[in-house]
Amino acid sequence: MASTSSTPKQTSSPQTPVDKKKEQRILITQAQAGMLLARPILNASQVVICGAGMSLNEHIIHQLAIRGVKRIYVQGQPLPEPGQKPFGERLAELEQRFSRVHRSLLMRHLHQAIKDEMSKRS
Amino acid sequence: MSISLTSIASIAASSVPHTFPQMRHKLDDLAADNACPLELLASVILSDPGASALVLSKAISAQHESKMVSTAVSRFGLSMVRGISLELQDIPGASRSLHAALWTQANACATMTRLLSKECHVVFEGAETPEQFHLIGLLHDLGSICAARHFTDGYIAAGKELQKKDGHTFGQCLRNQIGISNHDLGALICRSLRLPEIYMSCNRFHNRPEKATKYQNEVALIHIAKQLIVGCGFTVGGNSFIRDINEEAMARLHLHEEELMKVITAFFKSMDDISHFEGGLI
Repeated sequence: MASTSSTPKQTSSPQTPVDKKKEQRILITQAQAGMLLARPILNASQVVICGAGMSLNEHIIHQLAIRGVKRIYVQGQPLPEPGQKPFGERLAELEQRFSRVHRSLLMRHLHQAIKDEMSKRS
Repeated sequence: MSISLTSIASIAASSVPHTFPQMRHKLDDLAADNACPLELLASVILSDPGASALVLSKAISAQHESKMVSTAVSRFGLSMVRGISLELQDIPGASRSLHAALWTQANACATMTRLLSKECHVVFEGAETPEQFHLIGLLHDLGSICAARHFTDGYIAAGKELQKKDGHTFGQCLRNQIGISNHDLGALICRSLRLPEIYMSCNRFHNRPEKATKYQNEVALIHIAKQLIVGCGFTVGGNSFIRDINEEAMARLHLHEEELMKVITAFFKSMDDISHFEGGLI
């Protein structure tokens, strides 16, 4: 489920600019003791509850989880990325997924709409 | 390799929902903390088809009338969550990546169903709240989840067969491999868990909504949501072809192309939260 507006969140634009390549967005359940926060975590009132640079321990991770924090930004890249496929490969997969339809105008338009969204996001 | 229907029915009847070990540990940790908000527990459970099915089943067995996980959790509290965590079975390591894709697809369908329901100008018979729409999407294909767990080789072989056979559905290929389609298997699971009839209808008929005799609007909704998420790339194994959206289903829900386009844009915005089920990262 997506976070609600009442749950604490990490800022999307860090107070101290951090090179995007040197941080990783992870699930709170993937957090481990010793990881360093790359961005501060704010509560619903926009008050910082954990500052950037704080070292996580098991107690802090648990407290964040029960306060509804779902994802955090940590320094470095401690976890392997799920592996975003190149755009060309994703496009080929899209063509494959639609290869058994195209009989109706609706399906052709859906195909194009998904293609457009993928292009926008790539 | 076809399996006798008696064996399949027996497996379906005794099948206990399963989940990732990480999910069970998370439930254990949260339930051990008496200060843990029940809303948080409910939202964790609602991301997991195995845990959600078991909670609903327990609530119904206890003759609790609610059809929602959140109300069941607030009614029965932390002790029920501890019991759920003990009862859920672990997904074996060998099929964990397959199940991660199934969990991701279930969450994608839940999100799409919820978004699409807002665009329909009809009255739904069995679902009313966003959580109820989320749940019918999350639990729409329990047959595939069961097949991947208990008939893993047949499930994978059905995907390979589908790649070769244009004009076939995954359900037909699975029936060729193990003797039952994911739709009929899903309906058996719903019956064994005593889930409300709406889940049985959505499982059995989401691929052929014109056959549904009950909860027709919900079945039509799941049919469209499923085709859209497959189109957007939420596929599992070889079951990777979008099929034509049933025109009757569109007409039944008074949906038009513009609404589908709007929902696709909203869905892509939600993708960051569902792009990969966390259990798959173990």
